[in-house]
Formats: sequence, structure tokens, C-alpha cells
Amino acid sequence: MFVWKDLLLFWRDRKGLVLLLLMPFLMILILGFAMKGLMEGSPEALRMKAALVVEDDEASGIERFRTELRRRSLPEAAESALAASAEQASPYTLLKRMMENEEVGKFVEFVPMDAETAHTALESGEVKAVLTVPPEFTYKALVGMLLGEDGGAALRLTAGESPVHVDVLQGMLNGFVRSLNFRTALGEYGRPDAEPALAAGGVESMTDAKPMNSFLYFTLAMSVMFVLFVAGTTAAKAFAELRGRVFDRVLLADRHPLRFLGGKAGAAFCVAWLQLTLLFVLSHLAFGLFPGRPFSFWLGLSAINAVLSIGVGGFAALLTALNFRFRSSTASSMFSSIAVTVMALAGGSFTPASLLPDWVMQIGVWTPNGLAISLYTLWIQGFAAVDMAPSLLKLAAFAVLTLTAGIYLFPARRRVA
Amino acid sequence: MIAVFLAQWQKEKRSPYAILLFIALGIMLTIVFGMGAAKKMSYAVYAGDGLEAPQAAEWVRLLNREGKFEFRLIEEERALRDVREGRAELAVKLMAEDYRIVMAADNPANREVEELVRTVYNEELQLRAAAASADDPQQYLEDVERRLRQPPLALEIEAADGGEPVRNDMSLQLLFAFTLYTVIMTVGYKVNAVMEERSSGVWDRMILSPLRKTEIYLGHMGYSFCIGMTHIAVALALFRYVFGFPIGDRYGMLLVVAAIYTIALVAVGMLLTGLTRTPEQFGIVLQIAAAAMPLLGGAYWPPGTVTNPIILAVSEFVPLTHAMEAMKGIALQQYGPAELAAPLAKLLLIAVLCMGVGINMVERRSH
Amino acid sequence: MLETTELVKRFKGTYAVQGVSLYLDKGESVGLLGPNGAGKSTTISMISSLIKPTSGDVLLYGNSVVKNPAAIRKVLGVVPQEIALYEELTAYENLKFFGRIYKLKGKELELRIQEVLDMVGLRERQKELVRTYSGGMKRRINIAAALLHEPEIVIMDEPTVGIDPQSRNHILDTVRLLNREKGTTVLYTSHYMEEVEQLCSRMYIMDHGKVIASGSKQELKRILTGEDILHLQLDGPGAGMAGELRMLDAVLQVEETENGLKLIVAKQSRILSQVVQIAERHQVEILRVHVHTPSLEDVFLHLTGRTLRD
Repeated sequence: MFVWKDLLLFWRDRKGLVLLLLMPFLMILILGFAMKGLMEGSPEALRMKAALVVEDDEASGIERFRTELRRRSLPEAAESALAASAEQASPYTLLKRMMENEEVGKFVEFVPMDAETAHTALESGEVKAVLTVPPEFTYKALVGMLLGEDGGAALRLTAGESPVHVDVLQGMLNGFVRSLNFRTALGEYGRPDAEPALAAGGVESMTDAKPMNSFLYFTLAMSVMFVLFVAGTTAAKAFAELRGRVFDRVLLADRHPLRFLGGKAGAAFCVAWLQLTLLFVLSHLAFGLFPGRPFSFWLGLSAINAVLSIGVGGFAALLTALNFRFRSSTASSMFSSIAVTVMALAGGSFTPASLLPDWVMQIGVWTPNGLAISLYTLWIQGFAAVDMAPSLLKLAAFAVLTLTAGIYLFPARRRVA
Repeated sequence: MIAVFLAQWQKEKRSPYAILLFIALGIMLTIVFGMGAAKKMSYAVYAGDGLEAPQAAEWVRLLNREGKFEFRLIEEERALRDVREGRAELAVKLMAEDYRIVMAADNPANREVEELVRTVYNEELQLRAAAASADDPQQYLEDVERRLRQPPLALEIEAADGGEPVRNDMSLQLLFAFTLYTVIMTVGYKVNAVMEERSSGVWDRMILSPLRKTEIYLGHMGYSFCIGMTHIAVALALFRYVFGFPIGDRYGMLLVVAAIYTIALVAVGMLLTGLTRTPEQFGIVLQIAAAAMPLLGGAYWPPGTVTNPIILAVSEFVPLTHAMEAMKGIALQQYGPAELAAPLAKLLLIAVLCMGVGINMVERRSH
Repeated sequence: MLETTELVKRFKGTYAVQGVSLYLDKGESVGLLGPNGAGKSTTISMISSLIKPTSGDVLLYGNSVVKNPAAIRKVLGVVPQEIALYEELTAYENLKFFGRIYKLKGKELELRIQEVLDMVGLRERQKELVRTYSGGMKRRINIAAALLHEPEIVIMDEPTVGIDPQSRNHILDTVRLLNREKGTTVLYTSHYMEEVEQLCSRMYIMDHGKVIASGSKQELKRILTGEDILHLQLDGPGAGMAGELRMLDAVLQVEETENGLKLIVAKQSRILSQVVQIAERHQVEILRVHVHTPSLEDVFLHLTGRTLRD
């Protein structure tokens, strides 16, 4: 009866509903799109063009190196071996091979340009960076690689204004330079037949689930954050009833005041559960989050929703009690403005918890939203219930604690004279 | 005008908590995230398949020697639990001559870590193999060491103007982002006084008094401006002198940007006043707008992260985008008046547009 | 000194006020009566220059207020229906602010603040936050804020809505004091008939955006002067005698009620003795007779078809 009335009040408050449903959805949309590249590291999002300015002539560089070899009058065999190596290990050829590599091609398209065009293209943002192969590159590099002499050559990367892209490019080029230098240091280019043993390496996935894409992550993150607002809103509405003397009527009707509190917690639970479920369904429809999942998967999701919603109900009770005790809505508005932000932060609603400093993460483990994100993550990736038990228990304990505190603090014995 | 200003100030004196809380929130966010961003990403590694502790420690040393990430050796169970529950992207399982990257689900975003681990492992294994087959391993290792010190190939990086490339300092960027974000709230709630007075009727009383309308508006906007400026000035001063963030020596320049940004925020506030009907509605819309602004402007991520053309276009209309550019330019890139002209002009344009449209709508809304 | 000519205000196609003409003489106290939504507040807003009329004009000493709002704003004090105060400031701070925006300063301002506080009887509690005041006290400060600049004309929009009797009496006293001792012209809006009867010499009754009647209390009551209403409480069924009663010339209408009959009769028709005779003839005893002279409320009901509190 109390719950029904409170639900009606929620339904009538369209602005509140917008805040609770539309705003998180909007945030999922914006953040999902904005963070797509960063979170997925997918080539599509990071794809870029880079200008390639070649100021060196490879063939004449090699020719010059040969001339240099002849000038040094090395033994015949050594000279021809080095000349052959120069042909095979010409750094520009190796660089081109790297650029034509399929993996690299997914991220970067190198467009040959002259220096001036490249500069203009960089300014306009058409290319994210310019890679310059300076004059004498081949010759100097070969001298360093094969003759082991000082000096050497340098590739020049001119960075545009997008560090994200430049970082990717720089990573690739550094890898190239490093491997060439390392092999030189091992002396491999002197004896081209070496075949080193390599680590097998590789990635082990605990499940065969797909990695979370940005939309899925933010659906979880925003849902568990905005569900917290339900608690604050409920308590604020409860306080309005105190101010509007509706609460006095409840007392006059000789209803136990705790039933009023129970109504609040119950209503908060229902609204929270509906909100979570609607957000998941909505996001699923919009972004195709859970393709082809069986009904039992959805059942599990909504069970987690329910546990989290009980926690929200507990919060609502606690805040209502505080509002009534202090006869002001400060507690609930502080909760909505400050506490929710802090919990969202620590619990990993703004950025994946794995990116947070360790000590923040340790706090986050104890926030209801943080716990819920863990639970959803486990469930979505198909882990067993055993793995979920600790988080589930913590979340349930949380609900019991807030509810008890709410009942204890609620000025229940207050009677009208 | 002064009377309007003073009345607001009297209210503030009685409950200055809102602005203090918002300043504190900005500082807290900066400390949590800004300091985190300055640190290297850290990943857990664990010894698998009976790898002896000294060997594991040696691999960790080699991995950390790269300096790019921080690798921490922890027990297997905790490492795996963190991965399972989404608190860690991955863990590295170390083996004698091999490794595995363990993830909850295969995620290409972690390619960089894998690349680094692979390089370290392969180089070490190659080196060991080559040394083992050398006539004098000791001598060989020394030779390799020497040759590595004079690499034949290098990669030079420069900025477009030929100078040092600008390193984007994420912690500084976040400092500005959170300060500029929280001040939206501060200014917004001050401008909301206009709406509150309109709904309480105080506004009509002022209209009926000999006060000119411009005086009423200026009183309110001037006050919001002063509070917003105070917020930014205090926050930046605290960051610089108390927390020691390197925001540069051009504090005055930063304040100029802050002033123009605050004007733009006041104007945006007026626009919201024109668009909404009640103070509560204003509050809700403000929260949405304030939260969305840094996101649209990509303030929380390295520049270039946001590539969606629609979001980029929208971000041009967000004051925070331009203030951010100007402040970062001042702190990191020695921006002078010439470079600041564009972002500041855009801010002023936004200010003029929003103010014009906003006040117009407010006036049309009257009765 | 103040008059309106055919004021019309249209909001998005619906007429809130359609052709209201009224006047206020200097030193007069005039009531504006009407149910909710009659257009009283809109009329007041137009008089006080807060909103521009769609057509018509407001004249202050013959000069158009619509063209030159500044003229009326100087001499006008408006007490709005809502509590237009800063709840988070004290009464004193509120009055200081409202005095300042009327360009009062220094000693004069101080003096006026204490004076109006005396008038509304809240001098003792001026240092308390308005938020902590009772509804009635808020209303009194709401009035005080409009009196600081000693306006010649005071317009009050429902100043006694929803408050305790003590505050209400205080407010009525304040209005009387203003009007009778200070010679302030008062336009008083209310839907409490008895307040207007007590305070005002003249009144306008508005409904559906129009003035439907105006004049002094007596003049208005005369609208219903033609008839009296007679309630008969009987000890038995009155149906029998009803027919005979209808035959009487002075009886205009007979109606059966729960415990008797209701007659509408011509005024001063000396009909009572005839009624008694008829009753005796039908062996019905008249337990009670109640003659009812129409009140202003009845006039109102008669004119608008609804009561003031509808």
C-alpha cells in the first residue's frame, strides 16, 4: 500500500524519471562513442594516415657503402659478405617491409609525399605524423650496422597534435628501430644464417567471452551510478511528505511509522530494479550488447539487479531516516551530489577500475556500485557462481547494514500530541 | 546593482558550503586521477609452472627495466581474481622461458603490454642462445652490451614546428579538466539565483523598484562571475602552492583565461535559465550539462582520443574545450597572446551568443 | 488618481482579462473580489506595470503607465501573493535589501526599516531568518517590504491566504492604519468577503476576466434587493400546503426541502401571517422560520453562479 503510493509519486514526477532513465542513457551514448577507440584499441578507431617523406636514395646509398667497403681493402670474402648483407639488410627495405606488414597496415597508411606537402597535411590534420627518411640514411645506417662504427642514422618522426595516434606510430617505429639495433648488437647481420629460439608467448583467455566494448562497460558503469540517485530522490520525496504533513496523517492513522520507512525502501527497490532492467534492455536494443544470450542469462542479470536494488533500498531507508532525524533534506542532497560522485569514482563508474590507483581501487571494492560492476562482469564473462559469491555476500551485507541503520535512526517513536 | 550583489553575498556568507564543496571535489578528483595518471600503469605478474622465485624476480627486473609499465609480482590467486572481477585488465604468467598474458576476455587494447613482454622475452632468450653458442660467452655478452650502447639506428621525434615535441602531461590536463568542470557547478548554482528569485517573486519586486533591468542582471551575473573566479583562483593557487603541481609561472595569464571562461559559463547559465522553467529543472539540466561538457570536449583523455566527427563538432560549442586548450597552452606550450587569441575569441563568441539568446528568452518568458 | 481603461490581456489565444475598467481615488480603499482564476492577479500585474496589456491602458494622473512605467513604480508598493523574500536571510537583511533597491540609504533606511517593522509588529524578531518564521510572520514581512519607500498606492494580492487569525488581524490592522492614518490608497484583493467588507469602501467583483459588478457594499447588496428567502422547518410533509402557497401573489417560488419548504418571496410582502394560516389549515406545525436577507456572498453566487472559494 505504501509502496504503491510511492511508486505512483515516482511515476508522476516526469522530470525525475528523465533524470533517472534518459540521462544515464545519454551518458552511455556519449561516453560509448567517445571512448570507443581508447577502450577497444581497435584498428578502426585508431586508423590514421601518416606521411612518408623519403629524402634518401636507397640504391645510391648501398652503392656508396660498397665503394666504402672497397676503399677499406678488406679481405675478399668479408667484403662480398658485407656487400650481400647490405643488400639484404638495407634498413630502408626493412622499414618498407615493416610498413607493408598486414598488422601495421590495419593502423597506419603511409602516404608518400614531399616535405612541403607533408607539412601542410600535418597542419590540416589530414595526416597525424610525418615520417622522414633523411638524406644519407641508408649509407650511415649501413656503416653503423655492418661496420660497427659510431654515428649511425636516425629516422625523424614529426608529431601532429594527436598524442594517441602519435603514440601508436611511435610504438611501431620504436619496435622496428629496437629490433634492428638489437640484431646488430647480437652481430646477426654479419652472419645472416642465425635462427634464434623464441618464446611462444601468447594470450590466455579465462573465458571465450568477447572483451567488453565501451558501450557495455558504460552501460554497467552508468547504470550502477544512476541507480544510486534513486536512494537520494526517494529520501528527498519522503522529506517532502514530512514537510507536507502527510507523514503526520500516517501517524494519525495509527500506522506504525516503520511501515512508512518500509514503503520508502520498497519503492526505492522497485524503482531501482526497474531502472536497471530498463537501462540494460534499452542499451541492448540500441547497441546490441548481448547478442544471442539465452533467457537464463537475462534472468541472472536481473537477479544481480535485484541484489543491487536491495542495497539501494537500504540506502533510501538510511537517508530517509537521516532526513527525518535532522528535519532537513541535507542528508539526501549531500548524498546525491557528493557521495554518489565519490562512490562512482572509486567504484569504477567513470573509468574502468583497472585504471584507478591501487588505493582508490581498494576503497572501490567496498562500494555497492563497484561490487555490482564486478558481479555483472563475472556474469557476462560466464564465470561460475562460486566466483561471484564473495561480491554477492558483500553487497547483501551492505543492504542489511544500511537498512538496519535506517531503522535504528528513524525517529519511529515520534507521536503527534 | 550593488544591492543585488550584496544580497547574494549575504546568502553566501550564511552558507558557503556549496562552493567549498565544489572546490574540494575538484581537488579530490585531481588528486585521485591526476596523480594516478602521472604514474605508470601497473600490471600484476605471477610465477607459474613452478618457476623459482629468483628467476621470477629476474624476469620482473627485466620487464621493469623497460620503464614503460610497472610490473608487480603478486600471488597467483589474487592476480587471477582481480582479472576475473574486472579490477585488472590482465595478469602476466611468468614461466622459465615463456609467458602468458591472462585476460578475462581477449582484448586487443592490451596489445601494448603483450608487445613489451614479448620483446623482453625474445631479446633475452635470443641473447642467452647466442651467448651459449659463442666461443667465449662472457666476451660475447660484453660485446653485445657495447654494441647496444652505440645503436646504428635511432628515431628522432619533433613537433611540427621543429621544436621539442610537447609531452601531454595528463595529470596537468586532468587538473584543469576537474577545475573547469567543478566551476561549472559553482557558477551554475549561482546563476540559478535568477530563477529562484523569479519563482519566489523577488524578481518582480526588483522590476517594480527604480532599479534598471540591466542593474539586476549585472548584479546577478557580476556576483556569479566573482564566485566563479574565486573558485578557479583558489583552486589553482592551492594546486600550485600547496600541492606543488607544475602549472607554470604564468598564473596571471591563467586567470585571464579563467575570467573569460567564467564569463562564458555565466552566459551558458543564462541560456539554461531561458530554457528551463523552475530552479529544480535548472538544477537537473545543469547537472547534465556540466557532466557532459568535459566528456564532449574530451577533457579526460589524451588529445585525439575522441574521433567521432559529431562529438568533435559539438565540442566546439562547449566553453570547456577552449578554456582547456588555452590553459594547457599556457602551462605546457608557452602560448602567447597570438596563440591564445583563437580559443579566447571562441569563448567570447559563445558568451555573447548564449547571453544574448538567454536573456532574450528569460525576458520573453516573463509573464 | 489611477484608472484603467478597457484592459485586455490575452495569453496564447485565451483571454485572462477582457475589458476591465476601474478607478482608484486618492485615499480610497478599494477591494477587488473574485474566485481563483477570475483575472485579479493579471489585472494587478498590468496596473503595476509588470506586464503589458494586450490593449487598453492604465492611467496615473492621466498619464499612461504602459508608456512610462517608471512613473507608477515610484509611487506604488506591491504586496505579491507569494512570499517574495530571501528565506535564507533575516527579516532585517531582507528589508535592507528591498530598501536599497528603492535607493534608500543610511539613517533614513534604518529609520524606515524600524518603522515598517513596528507596523507589522515584528521588530523584536527582525534578526531571525525568514525561513524560520511562521507563515503569518512571513506574510507580514512580505507586506513590510512593500512599504519601505512610503508608496502612495499599495496593491495587495491576497495578503491573508492561509495564515493564523492573529497574523491575519495584524495584517488587517496594518491595512487600516495605512489607509486611515497615512492616507495611503489601497487596492485589496481577496476572496475573503468579510475582509473586503471590513476594509474597503468600494469594491469590484471580477469573474472570467470581466468586472461583473462594482460599487459600495450597499449598492452591491441592492442587486438582490427584490427578494427574501424564507426557510420553513415543518413537523410533517409540506407537499400538501405547497400548492396553496403557490397561489399567493407574493410567493415567487416554492421548493420542497428535507425538513420543510423553501420560499422565494417578494421583499417586504408581509406574507408570514398568511403562511401560518395555510399551515394551520393543513395541520402542519411550523417549527422554525428563517428569513434570510441576501449577503454579499449571495450576490456573488447570484452573479457568478459559484462561491468565492471555488
